[in-house]
Amino acid sequence: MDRVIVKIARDFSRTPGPRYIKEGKWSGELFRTEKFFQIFADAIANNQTVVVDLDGTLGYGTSFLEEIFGGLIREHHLDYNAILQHLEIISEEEPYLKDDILTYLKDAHEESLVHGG
Amino acid sequence: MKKFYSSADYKQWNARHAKQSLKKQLRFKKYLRNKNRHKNFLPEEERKSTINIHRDFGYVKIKVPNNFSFLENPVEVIRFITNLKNHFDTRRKVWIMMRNIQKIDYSAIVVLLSIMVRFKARKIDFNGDFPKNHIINKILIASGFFQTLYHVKISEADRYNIGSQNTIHTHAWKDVDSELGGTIMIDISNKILGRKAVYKGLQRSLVELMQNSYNHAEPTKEGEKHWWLSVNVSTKQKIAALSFIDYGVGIFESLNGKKPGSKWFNWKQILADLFNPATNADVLQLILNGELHKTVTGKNYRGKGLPGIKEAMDRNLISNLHIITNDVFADVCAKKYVILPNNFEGTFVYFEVNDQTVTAPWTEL
Repeated sequence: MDRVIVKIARDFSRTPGPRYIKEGKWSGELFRTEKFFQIFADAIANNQTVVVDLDGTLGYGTSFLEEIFGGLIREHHLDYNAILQHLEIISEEEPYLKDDILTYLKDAHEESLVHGG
Repeated sequence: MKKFYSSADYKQWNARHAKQSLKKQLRFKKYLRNKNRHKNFLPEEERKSTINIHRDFGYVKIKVPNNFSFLENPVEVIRFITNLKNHFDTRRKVWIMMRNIQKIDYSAIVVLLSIMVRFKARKIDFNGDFPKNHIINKILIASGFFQTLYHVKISEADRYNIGSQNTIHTHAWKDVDSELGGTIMIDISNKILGRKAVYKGLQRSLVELMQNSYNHAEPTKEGEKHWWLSVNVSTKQKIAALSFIDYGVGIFESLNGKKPGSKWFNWKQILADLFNPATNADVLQLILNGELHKTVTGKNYRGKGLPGIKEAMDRNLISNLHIITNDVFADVCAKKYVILPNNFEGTFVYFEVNDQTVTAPWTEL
């Protein structure tokens, strides 16, 4: 499978911010709507792997990560299993973020089932 | 006439008079010199305060706690804050009596600065005297307190920056400012480690705190209240102290105010069924351990909000975490959770990073 690399520090910001655009600069919502969703949707359509490199930033608020990953299911209705199949996470600096992100995706998926999304 | 002024008698009288007059002038000059001797050696701000001490009519005098540390003396400091808040609400000018402060720490600086700026921004007179203790004076001068008090015009703004980059710097804003973490991090790491390094825990904590203030400090409107952050770096001790405060409703009042439809509505009942916490101190412990989130939402907290900050402490990404909110004081590091006799309307969080804190390398992009 071809790989599309997204390095958040380089392709978005070294200082990722809050969840929503209204809350401040460099929000998860901004990243998801302007870049991340399109990259992911294209990768699924073209059978590519999206490699998300979390290293190189100054750190993440958890809402940012929840919004960019959980939002793919909640807002853009991407398929949970398709996301998992096409996602690879690099996080050498904060290895625990990988588990956190998988949980965010799972939670968003379960919520979408409850709310019929 | 000419004869009179040139007469020997007049000349004698005139010489005697001039001598006496000069003596009198010199005596007065000496008196003035002595009187001003002490004052003239004081810094400008302190001189100004000495002058103002005689002009404090109409001020409500409020005594600053002798041990002015939010961490060591929370009860007195909360009383001081509440007292000032009452006068702020009724727009009464205040004079804070700082002469007898015996101890001050950086947790109090953010309190003092934020209150002073709020008064000045509302155009309510705020004044005070100088601490007798010179070390405390120095700390206050370094914080920019007197400079801002006497020289800076303050208007109701979203953003404030007070103090010098070299010692204590205080920032205030309403939105989440993730870029601020970068500026602080460069400064801190250079002073503590002698090189640029990334404190991931510092950034996470700041973003979570700013976001909490934005969303929960004012129940009726988001982004309404300022958050305040004071940063002090001790190069000698290799410690950076960060004190964060907002004058919102506080964590428990915010939870209590959740409306039906919110996932946090009825949190107390749900929590009581499982844990039966006796006081808010127990509840804060449950919040920090992620139990509140897990119990109320049925999902793992995964580092969100306050538990995320505690998690950062557990991973040695930050240290010496303290939280004061409503009627709870928590020294999280020492697992000490205490109920206070008075209520602090707001949230105060203190933490440190030092030369033992886990960092990541700074990479140039």
